[in-house]
Amino acid sequence: MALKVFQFQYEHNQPFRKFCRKRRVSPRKVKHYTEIPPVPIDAFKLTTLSCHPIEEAKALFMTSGTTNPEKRGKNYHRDLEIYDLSMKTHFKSHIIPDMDKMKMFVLFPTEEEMPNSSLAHYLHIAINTFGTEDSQYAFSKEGFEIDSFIEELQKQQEPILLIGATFSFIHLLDECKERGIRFNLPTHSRIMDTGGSKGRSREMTPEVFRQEMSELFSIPPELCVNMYGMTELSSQIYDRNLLDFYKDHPISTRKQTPHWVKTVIMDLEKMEEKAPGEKGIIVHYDLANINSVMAILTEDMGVQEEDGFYLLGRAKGAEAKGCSLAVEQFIASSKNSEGES
Amino acid sequence: MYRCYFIPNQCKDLFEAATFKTLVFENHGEKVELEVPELTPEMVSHVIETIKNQQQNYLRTLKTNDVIEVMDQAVQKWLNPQYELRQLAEQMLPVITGYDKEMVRLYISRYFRQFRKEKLQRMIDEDFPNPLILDEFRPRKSGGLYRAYGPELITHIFSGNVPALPLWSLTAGVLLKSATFGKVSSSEPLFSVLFAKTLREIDPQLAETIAIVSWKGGEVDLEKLSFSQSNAVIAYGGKEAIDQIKEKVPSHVSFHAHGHKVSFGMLTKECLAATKVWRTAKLAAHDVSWFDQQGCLSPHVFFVERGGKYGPREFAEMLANEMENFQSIHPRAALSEEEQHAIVSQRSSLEFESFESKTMNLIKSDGNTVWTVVYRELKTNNREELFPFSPLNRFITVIPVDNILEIKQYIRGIVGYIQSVGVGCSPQRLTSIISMLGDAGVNRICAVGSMPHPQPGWHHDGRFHLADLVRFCDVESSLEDQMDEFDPYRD
Repeated sequence: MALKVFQFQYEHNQPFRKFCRKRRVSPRKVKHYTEIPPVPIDAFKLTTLSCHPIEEAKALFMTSGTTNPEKRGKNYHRDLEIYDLSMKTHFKSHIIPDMDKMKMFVLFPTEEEMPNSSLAHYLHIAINTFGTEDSQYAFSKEGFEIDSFIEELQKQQEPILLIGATFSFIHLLDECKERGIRFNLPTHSRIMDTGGSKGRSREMTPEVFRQEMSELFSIPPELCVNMYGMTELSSQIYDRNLLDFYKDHPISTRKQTPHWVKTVIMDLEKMEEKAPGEKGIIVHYDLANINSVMAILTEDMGVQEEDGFYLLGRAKGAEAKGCSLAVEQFIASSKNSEGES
Repeated sequence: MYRCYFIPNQCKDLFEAATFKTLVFENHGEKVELEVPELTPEMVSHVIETIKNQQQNYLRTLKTNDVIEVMDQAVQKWLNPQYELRQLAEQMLPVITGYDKEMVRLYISRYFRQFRKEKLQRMIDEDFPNPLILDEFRPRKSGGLYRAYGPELITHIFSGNVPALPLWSLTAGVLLKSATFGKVSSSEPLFSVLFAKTLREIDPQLAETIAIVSWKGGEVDLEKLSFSQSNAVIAYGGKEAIDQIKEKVPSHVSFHAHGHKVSFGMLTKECLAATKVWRTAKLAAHDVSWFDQQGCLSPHVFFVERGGKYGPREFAEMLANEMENFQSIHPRAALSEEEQHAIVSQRSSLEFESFESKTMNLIKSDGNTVWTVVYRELKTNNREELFPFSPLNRFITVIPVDNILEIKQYIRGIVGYIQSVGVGCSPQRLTSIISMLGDAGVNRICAVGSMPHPQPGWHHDGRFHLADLVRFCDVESSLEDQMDEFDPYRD
């Protein structure tokens, strides 16, 4: 299957074909999916990776482009049938394996507010497919309605799912700490966060985040799940703890991919897979990413374990040995501040 | 396991009871473990008191020539390949830093030759027209007398990106008869310790004025303590580290910072003549590859002039060839995942760019990240185009220019941060080039191929190496003239 997708993308995606040819890789030579050259996510900013003319694309998801608004990564989708199916299937098993629908509170703006956000679309599908009628967004046009949201949370009788961006949860946490509020959510309530804390709120490690959330909402830490997703992908990857919890398995907080995604920890020097337990750069092979490229080279570091992988954070911004690199950062940062003033 | 610190013998007992921390380094399939003592403020103040006393009672009383003699003997020992501490360094430094063994070995010889007696004398003569003022009051040409005093105590904050680099400031301190309190970097803590041991073999009394220790940068108590006891603080490091240190240096203590800098090379069309071009490429490859481009002296970019027998685009190919040759002789160090990622992602961005542009060419080593040459035309008058910084580890950009003096517009963004410029040019072009570079704030201009090897007596970061550290005492001629009036033997 992976090889068929590769063949299709090789034939229809011109920049990707050039990329492969430079590496002397072609569908005739590739025997295993790990031989497909992964495309760095930066490429989504620099070129158009689409197997169909972009005029035909039904949806375009863009990265937030916090560093350079002009250079945003773009992932074109001819239609969202596969995206949505991928989302629903994996979401069901890892977030609500125990029921059909659930009351949801979304801590993120709506799809109408953010038409190019893959996360907004994702949440839209989540609430429409798995949310009960009384599910709602905690965001209005004016932003996070934190006061009414806190009130609402204190009234809940049935299990609920809080779902949204990590930084919104942290804002809520800080606000509640200041006001001395804690919630006692009904049993089986759960939360799912995504995006991480970096840059948008104070930083927090996933472990501390989970602990803080569990305390704030009085729910077991096993019911806090982090979703790892990227605009450049068409599938999501979840912590497996909630699924383990409901299946009575030993609890693991590793990240688990759906069966149509393979995540490989690579040694960039040799471009080969690292042994389990060794750290390396994360590469995803996502069959659902049909219209762009299935093999993605991320900027994240991770370690593979038997039951999934875990994230170690970004490879960029690491302390560099060379002394002249810091000059670049310094000049770049002073340029930015010039632009702001 | 090697105990990696140096303190006066008089403080030995104090350190015997200390707790030790182990630093582990692994490279080239070998492992080195160094044990460093964890310092307490008591230990620091005791050590400082000891070395200061010893400076007053012994080192201060030596003549500059005596000190040069000691340094020279130490350097002679290190130039002997059989010398045991050198052998230790040759064995451990490659494992600590990851650099190629052969390169480290060559470097030690080449580097120490810069510190022989006559070079040390040059270092002093460069800064002091009359070196005797370091020993006694001497007449000034304008009348009166003067003398120069080195600091009693210098705290050195060494960096670790290039091994043995601390020798520059260490030597400066000893030549000025100052006590040395050195903090080594945890990425290369060994060399300064070994060199201090050599000094002890030659002059144990002098060695009692030296301490080489380490702590984690930013330990407020230890830093404040040592800075306030010093007359001068010399620090190497990044802007943040330097700023942090600066904050803790009291106003009566002089502060000498060597912050991060960038370097580049430039070649005029004459260097690309048919008979010269390969040699030029080889020299350029040396500058890029030496110490894996980690020093401030390593070039990020070569600007190459059009109009020669070969063009900049062909030159980039030749440079790539020579980079490969250098790699086969001195393989680059193994990289961390972050460093590899920096190279791989920059390469692929360029690659996607090159699909849509004819003004760019990416040449790279096959199947690994050991070297990368990018040929890239910059658009003129584009303010957005930054100087293309390299992710280092042998990654160089070749930029073509019609006239070499055009580079002025490309380096606008880095003015004030330029360390060295390696130049290849014909005699007719020299004056215009050096004037342009001097105006742009460049500190050091050298021949292509010599970028990583500054000459003794160079003005590091544009400053006096020694004269910046001393305090002068002037005796004005008024006193000389007037005192005769009060001479009881006056006739």
